Amino acid sequence: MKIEREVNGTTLIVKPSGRLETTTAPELQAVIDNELTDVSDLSIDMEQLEYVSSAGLRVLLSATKKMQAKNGNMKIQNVRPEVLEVFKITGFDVILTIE
Amino acid sequence: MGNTVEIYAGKPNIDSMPQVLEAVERYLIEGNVAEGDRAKLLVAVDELYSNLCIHSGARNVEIRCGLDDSQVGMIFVDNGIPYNPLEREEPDVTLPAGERPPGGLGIYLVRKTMDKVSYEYIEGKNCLTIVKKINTKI
Repeated sequence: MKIEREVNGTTLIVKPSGRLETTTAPELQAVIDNELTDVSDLSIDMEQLEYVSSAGLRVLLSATKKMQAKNGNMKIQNVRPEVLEVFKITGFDVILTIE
Repeated sequence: MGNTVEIYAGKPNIDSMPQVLEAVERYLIEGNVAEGDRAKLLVAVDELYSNLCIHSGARNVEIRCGLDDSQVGMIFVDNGIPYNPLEREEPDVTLPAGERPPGGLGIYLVRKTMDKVSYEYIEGKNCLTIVKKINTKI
């Protein structure tokens, strides 16, 4: 999995590409764990994300909780239909702010 | 379903996940299964195989895949601890983020995205079968 980042002041845009599943989720989790210290607005651009499994949902939940705890904002952008369906089945379409 | 092919046989090991996913994807592409259906099947494989690797204690798992014009089927046979994942209680998917436990969504996703999921314990082996109808071929 490749993860691109764009930093603009306190805004971080993360662009993972490929698959967010059991073996790749730890890479995105590392970004969430290590790179949010000075971030107030987190965007995850999913245009290049082919699919998300429950291991990926776990990372997104962790990111949501982390941003909520620091009163920051988090949004998800450019979600593909396959990924959106996973969000809807699991109720993540309500938990996440999807643009 | 016609003939099935072996996707993986050996000790369940998370390091072999990319190999398993790639073998399934290659099989589905060669079978002209559309991208949307492939994504659902690959998520199901990720969920089921990762559960086997982490929880089953199995020394061996065999994964086979078959397809015809209307459906794809996969079977996972392992010699681990007897475990029927379909008996697992469904998670509450209406809870807000702060009240969500970190896990428990994997098998739920499989049940919701596949058309049939069945489990049997036969001759000391867990046998889990999934079937996905495919509506659109490339």
